[in-house]
Amino acid sequence: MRVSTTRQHQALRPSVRAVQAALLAMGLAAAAQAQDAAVDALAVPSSTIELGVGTTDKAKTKAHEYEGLQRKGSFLIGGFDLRGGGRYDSNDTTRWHLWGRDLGTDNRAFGFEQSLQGTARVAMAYEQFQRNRSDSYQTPLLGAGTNVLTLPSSWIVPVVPRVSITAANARGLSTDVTASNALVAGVSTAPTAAQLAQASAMQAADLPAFHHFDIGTQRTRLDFNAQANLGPRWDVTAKSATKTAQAPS
Amino acid sequence: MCTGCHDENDNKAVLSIYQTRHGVKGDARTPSCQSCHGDSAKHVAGGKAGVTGKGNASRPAPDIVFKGTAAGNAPTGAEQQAGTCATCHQGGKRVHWDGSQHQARGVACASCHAVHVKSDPVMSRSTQQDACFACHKTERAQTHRSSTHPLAAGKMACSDCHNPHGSTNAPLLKARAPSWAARPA
Repeated sequence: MRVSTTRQHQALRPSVRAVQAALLAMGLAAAAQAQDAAVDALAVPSSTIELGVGTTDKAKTKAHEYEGLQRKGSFLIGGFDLRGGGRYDSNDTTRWHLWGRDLGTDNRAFGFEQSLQGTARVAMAYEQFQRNRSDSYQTPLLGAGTNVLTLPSSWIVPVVPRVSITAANARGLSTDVTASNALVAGVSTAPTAAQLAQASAMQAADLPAFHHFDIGTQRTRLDFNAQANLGPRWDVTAKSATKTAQAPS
Repeated sequence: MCTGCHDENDNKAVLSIYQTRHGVKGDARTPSCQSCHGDSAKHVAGGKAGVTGKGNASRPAPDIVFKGTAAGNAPTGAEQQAGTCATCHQGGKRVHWDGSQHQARGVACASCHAVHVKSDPVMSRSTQQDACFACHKTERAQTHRSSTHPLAAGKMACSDCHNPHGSTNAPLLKARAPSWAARPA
């Protein structure tokens, strides 16, 4: 049995050839553009910006001890990393960098740096850092969070009346203590009506003075840095740092 | 010569080094590939029978390999690696490197530092501890105690107190702790 095959050759029309050439040119151009984009991604300084909203469903001091998220509610998620200067594949050594992070929290930080790599560099940075120790603390002292603490004018020195009417005793602010028996000269003794009245007046004057105060420390730091390169092994650096520590706002 | 094969399509993104200070062409101090990896003549020449081209598993490794290669070549010894880096990075914070705990235990520069990336994780407070805790697992656990320095929050880094490149103070503290300071259990 003979099997024969027939091949037919047809000449392509010029219009078809033109379309084929155009498609080929488009493909090559797209490939070249993709290649340029890949090179630019490596050679051109890139920047990022971060924006968003976060929420804290509960105010937990210890859980957010260092995060600045101790308050319940929403907060801004903000950050940026902006870079510029010459292309990395050029001889231009100019570089600048502007950054910021955690801008919506009490732990925000931002800074700026400008440099001619190999020659000189200046930079500044600000950082805020809060540590939360307690959100359940109460105190009668006025001026909490400052270096001057005073008792309110209405303050009566608490005592346990039936034990001593002069010795300061913080237990005098507790009704459980002043209303119950106490050992007086080794004898369990109930408070008299006068002692109960004294304790009641003292507690009425002092207890309302207690107010809530969040214990923590908020530190800030501002840095300036300048550096000049004098040679392969020598450089001159000037730095300054300003630090503060205060009660959280 | 190197980027002819190790281009943007390579399985390892080595070109990211150009986005770092190690890749700034305009800086006279900037090293070349061979400044760190050695002349690597055999690697350049090709594999068996002079076979060239990418993906050739028989191609010899560069003279100095920092973290191993995709072809399975082991990294070069830590001392030789450190000598390469010390060509430029000597003195300053690294003046006590020789004889330090990390050097004596064969820790290489590349064990902690990443050079072929846009941003070295060790240079950032929020990510530095990952490099340290890879070995110091006890300290990693200690940072989860109820009273701790804010490492997990990214507000402090190990290097704020310690100098991993060597120090005359134990344990690699930057400054001598006062005798009355509490020591961790």
